[in-house]
Amino acid sequence: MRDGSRLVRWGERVLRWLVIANFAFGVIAVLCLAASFPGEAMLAAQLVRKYGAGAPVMTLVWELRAMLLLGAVAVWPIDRCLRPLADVARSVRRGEPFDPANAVRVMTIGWGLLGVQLLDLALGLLTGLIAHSGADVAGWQPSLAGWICVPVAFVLARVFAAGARMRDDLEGTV
Amino acid sequence: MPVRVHLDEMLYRRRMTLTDLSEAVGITLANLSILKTGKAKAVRFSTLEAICRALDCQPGDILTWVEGPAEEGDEE
Repeated sequence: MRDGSRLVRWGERVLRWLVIANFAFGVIAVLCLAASFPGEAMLAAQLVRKYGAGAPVMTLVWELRAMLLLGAVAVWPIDRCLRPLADVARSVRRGEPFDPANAVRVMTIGWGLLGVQLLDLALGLLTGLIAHSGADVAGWQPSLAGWICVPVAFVLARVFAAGARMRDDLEGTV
Repeated sequence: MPVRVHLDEMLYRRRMTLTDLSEAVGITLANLSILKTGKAKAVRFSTLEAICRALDCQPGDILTWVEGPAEEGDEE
């Protein structure tokens, strides 16, 4: 069975590009974080211009750095989601969706999603701190859908493992 | 699982080749070969029925169980 649907093919391509984009985002976050140290005075001056001399500028600078650090760290769990998902899409395209490796891949995606959700909690905490410091920051809400996706991935991993075993049995059935 | 397959003997008795049986039961030569060499993990009732019909025999003429240690992968 060979599923050559264009949708799966394009999905896999998009995922491969997202892997690269995610890595590029991580590099940019690390570079910005590194640049925030030699450029600290310029950054502080910019914050004073925007929020006034009374603003806790250094606190804001460190909060900004923490945000960049979170962004850089998030690259790893996101990569743990995107890369295995692209591999799953490739196996589907080749007509081997119940490859035993897919169970491991989906499990990896589950751990990646859990990592993303934990980082999201840290982001929420940081957002609260930044807002408390009086700076403009986008609102944050806990992602219920994201938390639901974590057990879904782990359950699907078990489904894939069972499917792979059944496929194995079927292969020896005459 | 010490289940022995006696497809060879039955084919010899009926003066049939594996290819003849394959055509008669509509199962690929490769799958029948897996069954004949005892490498199959399971046999469908429909396969067994088709083979028995083609060879005019009982399932027991094709499969027998003998005492022996369970093979790797068998359930306890």
